Amino acid sequence: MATILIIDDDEQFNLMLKSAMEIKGYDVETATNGKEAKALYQNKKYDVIITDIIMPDVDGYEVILDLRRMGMSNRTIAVSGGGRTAADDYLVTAQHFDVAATFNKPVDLQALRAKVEEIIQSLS
Amino acid sequence: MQEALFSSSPIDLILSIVGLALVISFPFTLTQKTQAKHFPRPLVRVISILFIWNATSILGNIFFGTTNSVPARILFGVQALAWIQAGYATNIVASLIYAKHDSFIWKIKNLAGVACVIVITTLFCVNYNMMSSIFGLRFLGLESHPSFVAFCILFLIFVLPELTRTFYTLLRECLQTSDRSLAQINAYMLTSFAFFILLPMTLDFVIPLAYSFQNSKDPVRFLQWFQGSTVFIAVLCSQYFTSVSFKNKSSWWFLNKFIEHLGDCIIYFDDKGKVLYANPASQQILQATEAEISSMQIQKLFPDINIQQEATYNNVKVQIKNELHTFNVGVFTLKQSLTTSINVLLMSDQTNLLFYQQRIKTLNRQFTEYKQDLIRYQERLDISEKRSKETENINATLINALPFQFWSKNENGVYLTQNLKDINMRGNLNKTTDVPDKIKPEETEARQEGRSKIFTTFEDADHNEISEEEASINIKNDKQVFIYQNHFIPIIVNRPPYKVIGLKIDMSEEKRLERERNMLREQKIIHSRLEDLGTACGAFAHDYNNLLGSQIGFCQLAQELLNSVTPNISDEKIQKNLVKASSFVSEATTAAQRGKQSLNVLLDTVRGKTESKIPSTVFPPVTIVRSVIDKVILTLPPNIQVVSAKMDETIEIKAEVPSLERILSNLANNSIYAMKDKGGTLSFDVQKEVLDHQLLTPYAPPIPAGTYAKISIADTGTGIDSGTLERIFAPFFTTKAPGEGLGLGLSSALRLLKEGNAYFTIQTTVGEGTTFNLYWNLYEENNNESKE
Repeated sequence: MATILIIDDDEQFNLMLKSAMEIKGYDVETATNGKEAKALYQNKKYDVIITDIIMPDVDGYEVILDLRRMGMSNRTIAVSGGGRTAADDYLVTAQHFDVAATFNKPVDLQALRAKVEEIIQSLS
Repeated sequence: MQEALFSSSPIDLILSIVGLALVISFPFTLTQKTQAKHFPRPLVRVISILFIWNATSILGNIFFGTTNSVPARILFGVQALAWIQAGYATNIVASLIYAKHDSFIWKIKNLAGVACVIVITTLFCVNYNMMSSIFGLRFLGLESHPSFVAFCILFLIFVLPELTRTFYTLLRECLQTSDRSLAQINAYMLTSFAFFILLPMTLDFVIPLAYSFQNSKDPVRFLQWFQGSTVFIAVLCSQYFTSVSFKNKSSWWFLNKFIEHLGDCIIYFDDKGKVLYANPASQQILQATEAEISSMQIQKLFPDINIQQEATYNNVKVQIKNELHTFNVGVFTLKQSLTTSINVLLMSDQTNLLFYQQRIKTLNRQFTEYKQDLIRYQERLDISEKRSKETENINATLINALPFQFWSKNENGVYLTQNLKDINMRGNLNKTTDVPDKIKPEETEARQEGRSKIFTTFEDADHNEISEEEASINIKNDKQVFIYQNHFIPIIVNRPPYKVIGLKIDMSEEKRLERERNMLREQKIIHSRLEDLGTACGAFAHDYNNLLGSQIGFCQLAQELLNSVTPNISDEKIQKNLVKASSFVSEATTAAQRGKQSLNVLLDTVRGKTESKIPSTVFPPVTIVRSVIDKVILTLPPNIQVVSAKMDETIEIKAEVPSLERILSNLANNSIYAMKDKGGTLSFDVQKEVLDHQLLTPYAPPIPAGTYAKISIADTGTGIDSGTLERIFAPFFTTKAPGEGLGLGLSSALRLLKEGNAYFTIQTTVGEGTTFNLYWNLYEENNNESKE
């Protein structure tokens, strides 16, 4: 059974996404920041990792770069609600770090689930 | 026949008269010539002798003729008394020793002569026969001429030797004198004298004797020729006297003066060393009076000097009353005659000379120093002159380069200098004064009390002075106002009144900039407030967006669940409720979606970002204005008119069409909203506008200079009060009633203008209306082509 790691500081969002994925029958684990996430993905290999960009402590970019070093860029999905000010556009930067896909918040659940399914298919 | 004592011939008489006339006139001519008041005695004597001689001759001629009576004999004797003295008188004149008194010998001799004449005359008168027998010598016809013989003897004894002596004197003078001109004079004198003696001697004695008194019809008169020639001798003597005395006197006078003023000592002394004369300098140097010096012996004074020999001695040391003097001494001998000489001692005081030499050296050195000093001073003067000229140049340049009006007046208020700016403004006022009414009290105070004064004046466009209130009104009404800062600075020297410098500084530009700065500061405050608000909005929107995202997600999940569960429910009632719940969830989703859209608009506004970039195109703004008008007209209330009369169709701008359209629509909507109650006119205009300098208006960012397409939208609505105006561009600010607008129109319009590098101004008057002017950079084909 495929396992998914969801990293977001917004616990409600985490719960929502977890529910959406669990409905599809995936095994889902969550983390609220990069530090927690690191502890998880270093000990266990997840099929898909969905991460927010702006988070306290270790932010999404560090996670993305860490995963790239581990050769897991192709199973990473970045999600962001955009910055608080006009100039911020984090997802473009994330794309430069070779993530598999990016999604704006609020997330289109259908599209996200389709992408997750696509990645799992490609891995197996 | 008795001997004739006088002549009866008229020629003789005439000659005697001429002689007498000459003798009488002679002193006058002489006076004229020499300008002497008194003649020397010898000359007077010669003249009186000749006078008596000629006078007696005339008397005898007239009264006695050739008769030989006793009175005639007496007269003849008187005549003899005269001529017997003629020889010596002549000699004295020729010897040039006038000053001397008659010598004793002369007196004796003279007396003897006179006595002889008297005796012989008396004897002739008393006993003529005896006398004629004694003197009537029996040869050469002398027997009839006893008087001739007797007086001839007297002549030979008393006169002839004197004449010979005179001849000798003249000869000696002639040969001895070293003076060439004097020698010449003496030679002439000698020749003439010899001639005038020898000629009458021959005629009076030799010829009558040789012919035994037979040669002439007229009886021979004794000393007939001699009488005439003596007159000439007298004239000669006087000539000689004047020439020689003239010459001698001038040189003598000169020499005397010279000796008197000479700084060196001159001492005359005789052969024995007795001092005869000492000049004033020697009296001074020897510190003794003339009498004291006269009593001195030269040998005592200069023991080392041989006064008998002409010589010069250098550096002779002499002690004079405790002072040691060094002299250069010269001894000279001047021969006065063959036997007598005078010695001269010439002493020049070397002490003084050395002293003076020293002085001269010092003076020379000082002179050289002074000269060098003078050259240095001259150089310094030149340098300082050059410097002062340079300074003057710099000052003049500086004064003219000053960015304000400058003038200076002297103590009396007369203009001294003006810089070019002042001359350009007020004309050349050099050397004039201001009209007393026009002189400012501040200037008077500066001049009289020495206080610097600074104050501000205002002038309208025609440079007429106006009050501050008028000026502020003019500024408000956008009329030109000149603001000047005036300085009156006294130059304080001594006492008042002082010179005054005036500065008139044009502060108009500065004041304008100050107003602009204040305006900008206010705007900045407004904009930063807006920015803060925008940031707050952004943060809020971001967080809220996430919340909505979650909500939508959950709703979708709920709906998915419901949708997957509902068909499997057999209970119809439950199934119905589930369907209902699903539709509720769907509604909740829709509401959340709407909220999300609202948020997106807000986020776009705050972030200032359009998601999809639309390429800028070049187009005439008129087309867009028209399309906006068309759109606006569709929903226009009937009480509002749209005017777009004079629009420039030719100008083009490069911009995003939708942006301009959106801005214009927003502004048009606002304008219509402002006129919705009262109605009015909405006018559009498109014009080209060139800004020469930065345009700054209240409430809007400054517009740099350039060429713009100005798009104006003007309404005649309610206008915007200043409080509102400050906030119209803030997001969500609206004066519209709830439901009529979100309040994002102007805010997004502002953002779009910024993105399009465009500017705007806003003019509004409450109750009259509002005009928005949009400034888009004018698209100029040529420029762009050249760039491409």
